[in-house]
Amino acid sequence: MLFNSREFLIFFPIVVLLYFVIPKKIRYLWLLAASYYFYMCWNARYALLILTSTGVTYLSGLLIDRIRSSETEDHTRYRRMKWVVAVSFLLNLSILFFFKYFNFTCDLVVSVLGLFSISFTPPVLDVLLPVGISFYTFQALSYTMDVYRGDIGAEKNFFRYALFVSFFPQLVAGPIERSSNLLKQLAKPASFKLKHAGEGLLLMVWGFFLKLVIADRAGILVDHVYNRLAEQNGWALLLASVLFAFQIYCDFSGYSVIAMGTAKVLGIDLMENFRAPYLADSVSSFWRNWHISLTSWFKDYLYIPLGGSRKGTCRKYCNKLIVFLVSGLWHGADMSFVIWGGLNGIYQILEEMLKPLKDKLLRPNPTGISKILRRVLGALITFVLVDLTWIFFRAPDMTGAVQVIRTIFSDLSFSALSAVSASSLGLDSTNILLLLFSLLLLGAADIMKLMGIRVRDLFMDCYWKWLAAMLIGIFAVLVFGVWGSGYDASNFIYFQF
Amino acid sequence: MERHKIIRYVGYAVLSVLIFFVLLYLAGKIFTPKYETGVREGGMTQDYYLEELPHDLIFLGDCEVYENFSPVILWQEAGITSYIRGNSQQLIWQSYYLLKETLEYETPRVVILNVHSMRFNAPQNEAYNRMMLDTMKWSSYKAAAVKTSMTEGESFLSYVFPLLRYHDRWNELTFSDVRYMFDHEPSTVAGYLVHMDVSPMTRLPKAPILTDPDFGATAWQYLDLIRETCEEEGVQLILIKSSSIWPTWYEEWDQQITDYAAEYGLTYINFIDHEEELGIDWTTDTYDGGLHLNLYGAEKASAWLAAYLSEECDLPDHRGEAAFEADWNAKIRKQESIKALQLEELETYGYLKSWMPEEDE
Repeated sequence: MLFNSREFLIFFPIVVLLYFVIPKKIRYLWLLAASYYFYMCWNARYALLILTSTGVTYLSGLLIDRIRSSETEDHTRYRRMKWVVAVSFLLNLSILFFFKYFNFTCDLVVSVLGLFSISFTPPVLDVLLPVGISFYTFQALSYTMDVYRGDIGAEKNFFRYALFVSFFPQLVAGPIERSSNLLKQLAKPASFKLKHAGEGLLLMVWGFFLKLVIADRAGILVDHVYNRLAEQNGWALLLASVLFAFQIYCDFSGYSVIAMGTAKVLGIDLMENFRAPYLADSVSSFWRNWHISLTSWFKDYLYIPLGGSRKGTCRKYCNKLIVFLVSGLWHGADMSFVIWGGLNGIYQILEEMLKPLKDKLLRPNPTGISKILRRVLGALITFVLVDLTWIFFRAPDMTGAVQVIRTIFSDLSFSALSAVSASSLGLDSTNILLLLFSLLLLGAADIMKLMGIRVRDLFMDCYWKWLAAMLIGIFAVLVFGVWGSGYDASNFIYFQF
Repeated sequence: MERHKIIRYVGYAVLSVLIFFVLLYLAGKIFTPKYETGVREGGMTQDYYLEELPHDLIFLGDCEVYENFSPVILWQEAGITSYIRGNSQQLIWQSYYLLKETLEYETPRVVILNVHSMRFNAPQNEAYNRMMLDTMKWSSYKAAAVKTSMTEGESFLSYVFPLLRYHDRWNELTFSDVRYMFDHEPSTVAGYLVHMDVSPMTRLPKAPILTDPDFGATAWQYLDLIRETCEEEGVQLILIKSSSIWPTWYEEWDQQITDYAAEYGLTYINFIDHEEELGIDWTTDTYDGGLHLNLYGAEKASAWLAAYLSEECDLPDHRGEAAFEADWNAKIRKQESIKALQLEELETYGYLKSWMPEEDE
């Protein structure tokens, strides 16, 4: 079931209504049933995969807890606990590997063997990638690690733990929640509060705006241009590539915001997944604010265990590169994703290497206009760098990505500019204007976020203000959203990961 | 939770939902396509609701009735009061539900059904559905008509709240969309859509081979329903096949209708067989090369029908009755003014300029 589907508009109010009507003690059971129903609407059989992942990590948590409280030597205990963690990781990652990376690995093996003139015909796995598998697998694994590290105790109630793994608002596209945040909220359900519901609904409407008005409108142009690479000049490709950066941002952050809003109505706070990433003035800052739940997951469960920055500069750079290469792979089983991840890793390494030079060249602690200028310039450079990597993300393949970059850098003449038209972009000028206006709104909201102002709070002190904001938002989505006839409720881009 | 809190919450929720639906309704009114300017062949269903006096004759059918018969001529020739409840590609079940709706307002003496739509046994085209159904008043008949007519991908809800269907018209809205939100200027005269332009029939397209000559079960089912309804209400049902060169009206189809009419004692008139008698000239009496008649052709067909009905159906002549006279004189004036306007446009521009899509105002 998609958030932007008619089914969800019926499903969600029923879930909320019954959630607050039934006794608090058993609410988690209702949410669990609703979450599995939500997932099974897409593919009932694949719910078994979540169940397997849940079972494995639940048992590993209990085992780790039991080993920890046993009276054996520290060394033996930790060795045993490590074994449990390893088995949990192995089983979960095997499922993920089987569904997501099997064919990719086979192709890779074929390519490598081809270098030595060895031919090999691997079996081809023709199965549908389970929606959200990367998200719930990582969430479940983080639980195992948290219990191992002693950050939380093992959850004894299987059904409550199953809900933690399958909580429907964030089941298929995150945010990848931490047990320390979500499990305790599921254990102590909040009473219905008008404030929560109001805030949650505002968030949902904003999320739908990001998804349906901005992302899907930008998607029309991006798809049109990227599906006809050979016909496009540099300007069209530049515009499409810039818009893709916003498409993927609004698509993914839109989903996250709807997820946050949905959970908020139920009285549950999910972590913020995006914090004005395109206003970041460095690539490392961008990654601190982009897909925060995944970035922090990699930091906590991969970068730090690899040694982080504790084992020397060279090792630190290596660890960063590994994290970003894995992040690329997490996003998709294709070399272009690996290159995308690798480039982001290299950016950060270069950024750190060049930091002393930058500090030497630039005056420290600028004030006034120079501070603003430096910030704007930093954000612009960061955007250009990040957007370059998005080309690998969006292009059909590596050759396509190279072609896009080459055309952008070689075909930005005035004559090429005049050749750009609505028909070559697939979107008429009114729609492009609407898109620009919507992006300005997004920019304003992001700037306010950076200034520490939560836009939704501005409407929460008066019912009429809230209602006006809701109605304006709903009708903006209804009227300007790309949906309805001739439009398939387009999947959120991040579902495929 | 305290009782007063629950009441407050429910109050807020009800108020919010209420305001939302009022706005959704108003937005739907703005976004629903209007046919007062530009394209005229939509929204004709609502013209009927402006009628004040009853009719002795009701036409049901598709473009072959609202283009081919002029109620004004029927009035002028024989004092027959008639109305055409026809729309583009009006399917047989849509005719049935329009008949049921009409019977809620009045009981005519005669219903004439053009059987051209018997060729369709399943929903055909969303655009035509919308043109016919959007402006039909809500009733159980409309609900049934919508459900029966919906093509794949259409939703009932979008008929209830048209914004859900027409939201992407936001960049083509004009002042007319606001001007005609609640107001309506009928584009027809008693259901007849005036066409003064001439486009002669120059070639006869080859008829496609008829793979399955039998009308479908659904089409028969609704023809039966129309017949039964007319019987129950004491209304005489006449089946017709209106004049046209193409699409081809196959002999096999004609035979099935002839047999049906014979079986149930109905009158069936195939106007194609009477064209010489009518005096139809396909070089001057059609505006689209033989599909439909223009007013010149409609005048001939209507005059013939007026004579037939007076003779065979004993329909009363209402001429001289003050209320009817006033009503039909207004209709005559309207038809004449449309005629004059169209002739002027044809002379000046060579085409019907006012029928072209509206420029932004």
